[in-house]
Amino acid sequence: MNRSAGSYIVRRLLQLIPLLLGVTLLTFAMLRFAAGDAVELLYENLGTSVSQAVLDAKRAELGLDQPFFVQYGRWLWDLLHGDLGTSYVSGVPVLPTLLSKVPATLLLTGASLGLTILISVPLGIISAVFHGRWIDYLIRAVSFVGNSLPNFFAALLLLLIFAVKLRWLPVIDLGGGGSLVLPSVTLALAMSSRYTRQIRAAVLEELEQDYVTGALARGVGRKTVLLSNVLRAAMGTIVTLLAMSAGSLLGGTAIVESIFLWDGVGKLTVDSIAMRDAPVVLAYVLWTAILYVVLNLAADLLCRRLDPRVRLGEEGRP
Amino acid sequence: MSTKLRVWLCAALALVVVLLALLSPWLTPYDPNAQDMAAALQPPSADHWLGTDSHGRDVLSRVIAGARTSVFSALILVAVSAVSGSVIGIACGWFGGWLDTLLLRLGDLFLAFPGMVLALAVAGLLGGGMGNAILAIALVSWPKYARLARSQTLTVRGAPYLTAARMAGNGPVRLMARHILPNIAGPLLVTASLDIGTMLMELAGLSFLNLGAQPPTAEWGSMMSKGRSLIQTAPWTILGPGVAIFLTVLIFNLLGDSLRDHLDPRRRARKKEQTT
Repeated sequence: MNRSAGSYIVRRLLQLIPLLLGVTLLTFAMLRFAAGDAVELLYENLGTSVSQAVLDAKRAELGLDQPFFVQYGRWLWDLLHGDLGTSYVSGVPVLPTLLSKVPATLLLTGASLGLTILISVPLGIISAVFHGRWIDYLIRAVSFVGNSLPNFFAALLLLLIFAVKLRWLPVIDLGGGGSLVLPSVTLALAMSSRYTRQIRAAVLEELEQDYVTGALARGVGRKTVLLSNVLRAAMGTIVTLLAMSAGSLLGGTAIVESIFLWDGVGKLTVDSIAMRDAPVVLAYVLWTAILYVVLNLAADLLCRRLDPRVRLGEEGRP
Repeated sequence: MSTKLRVWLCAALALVVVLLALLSPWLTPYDPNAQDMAAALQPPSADHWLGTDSHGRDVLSRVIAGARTSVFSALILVAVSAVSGSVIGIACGWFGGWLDTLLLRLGDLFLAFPGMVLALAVAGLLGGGMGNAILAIALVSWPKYARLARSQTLTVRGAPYLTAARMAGNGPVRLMARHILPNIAGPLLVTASLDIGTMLMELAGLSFLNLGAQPPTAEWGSMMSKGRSLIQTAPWTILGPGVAIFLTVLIFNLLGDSLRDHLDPRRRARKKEQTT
């Protein structure tokens, strides 16, 4: 890696700092609106009614009686020391809890991304190569329909068909091999619909380039041009798309994970949100923000490797 | 089919959905909130076309009543984000300077971050309720419009008609509202119409996680959330609202898509090229 790429990476990672400050400050401000609820909800769920004095003591213990910026400053200071605080509900440190859920989410994300590529790349290419024919219209119609299907409905439909009616897979399967199938198919459905359209557009554009005409005129086989040149050029689009949707995937998994009781980061967050467990929610926001920036950076670097015409640092700024 | 015909066709379909939502109180065969425990969880029949839910409420009535909540909230959400984003974007593009830099950076903050994640956190921390859900999603979706409006404003900024309007003595507010906005409205409108379906899905998603509409309000996402545990015994409680969401989103997506094809002359030219 040369020097300019190195400084580029450093610059991009430095951009992460204001982003993280911004989103955590925002989340913190929101938390302030609902600050009282966390403590009251905690005792409500324990089934005990307690006096105001106990509530105040608990608030003081959690630092919720402090002024806003003191709370935020304290949280930042702890963060710099690798401490994300402890959960209001379970009293367990947040960081180890979060990290213990990461492998499950990564497995689900990886499986659905893999599935998406397997579905959308061939379909996008077929659609572009045969553009204007019936197969193109069919693929485009299906992907349009897939785009209009909310993922929670898709999840429930899949459950209904494959678990309830056909009984191929268990409705809820904790730890079994079959449990990965339905959630990853659910996530892949929506993404494949979007990708197929984008890949079709990218391949179509590439097919109109002069070098394709030139290669074909020189007698290079259509299949060779398609596989060695066009696919390579379209690769950049695919990589960028993957990175861009990694964010929505990480957000989308919250719903899908909680439907399929997949014990990952998303389900942890939904459960924590229900309990107003602010430290866990903040950790989740932080984790997705970091992941999002790092993934986008990786995609930009990979794009450059794949296509030397792409220059770093000039991406799409008007 | 000409693109114009397609736009009209899709607009008519969308209008039917909006009318359905508007007239829902008069269209429901039963009171959507009337409970009848004796008639709970009945499968679809002649009396109850889409069956009844766990409280014996008619699912069809709740789907129709839910149209009001779901469709109107999505429309309000799109309006709020599009209007606030456009105002900010036009002001940024017109005035420039520190205001531009500040608001643009703020917008980048939201654009650089997966919106749904933040919306989830914000809606969760604000507590349930459709208003909070709308606020949470609007908070992360205005920058898209601001960016678009800003870049469009920058392109028309130096146009002679603007100079003329300015020399005629128009103040900045009038200039922006009467002279800039009408000229850049097309792309903003297309983006907004393409957004309706997505926004409806996201709002329903928040409601599905109990972060949107609260019981007993009929709303498609929360109805499906209730039906989730009944999937083995009463799948119709999911299918009714699910199909309603799907069809509505499909119609609004078709409208946005056809509007984009119609208003984008470049696409139109390419289409023509393809057909000849």
